[in-house]
Amino acid sequence: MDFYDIAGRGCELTDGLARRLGFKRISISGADFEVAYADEKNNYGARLAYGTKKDKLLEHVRRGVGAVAIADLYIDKKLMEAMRVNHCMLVIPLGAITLTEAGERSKNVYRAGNIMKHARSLDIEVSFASMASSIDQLLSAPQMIEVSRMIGADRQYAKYSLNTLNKKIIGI
Amino acid sequence: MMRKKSRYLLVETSRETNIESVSNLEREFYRKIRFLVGEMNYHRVNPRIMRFLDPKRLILKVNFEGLEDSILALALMKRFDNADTAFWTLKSSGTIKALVKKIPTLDGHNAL
Repeated sequence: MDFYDIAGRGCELTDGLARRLGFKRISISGADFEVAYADEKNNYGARLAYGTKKDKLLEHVRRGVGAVAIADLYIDKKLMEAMRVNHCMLVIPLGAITLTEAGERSKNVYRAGNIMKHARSLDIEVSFASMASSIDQLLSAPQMIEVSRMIGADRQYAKYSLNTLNKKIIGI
Repeated sequence: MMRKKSRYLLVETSRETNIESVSNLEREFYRKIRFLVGEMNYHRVNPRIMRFLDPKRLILKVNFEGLEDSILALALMKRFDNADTAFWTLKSSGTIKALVKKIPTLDGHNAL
């Protein structure tokens, strides 16, 4: 099974790093595919919308974005319902868990678990990405599977979601 | 006496670690893992640095039952020696010999 990951803008991968980490490909936001940063400008038509502003993310979903990554991991029922109707994928940025410390990390694990459970109850496809802005923030494939399991995904689902991540966003 | 099963992990760091002071590095590494898995679970993981392959790669021995905890702990370890450092678990195996055999398939050259 091939695994894929998405890194944030500014992440500079060295030769062969993606392969060593167990991925077939690590796609860079902005370089390999277009990303709409919901907190910045309105570039509708991107493949992935990323941010915290729910009204902006909702507008992206209504305009047909392929996947949404909610940076603060808060559940917005209106947004989730729109994602269900528009067959939009939910991407959980694992950086919110790995890059925080102590109390903040516990809070994010709880939120990520809840948002995943809520999305899966609505039959929304859920996937995981590191969204790393530097190589220090990347995770290897086994580590991504374990972090996904920590927030409540089973091993099989974690593998499946890492495998299908790029299909929705880049189309491979 | 019952023999405990072990797993060996190939761990790569995102930047070169100072292996001149191996004992300090080990102490810091074990302290970090203990903080992340908790004192109650530390004996289940029982991590031991077996070998440094180069300044960026090491082989870590863990108990079989603590394998998942140790992979998770390494995923959550993002700062080391006052700098941003990632610890990537690349491969795991039941013996060092089998693990070392897997290294050339990772990047096309043998690190030993």
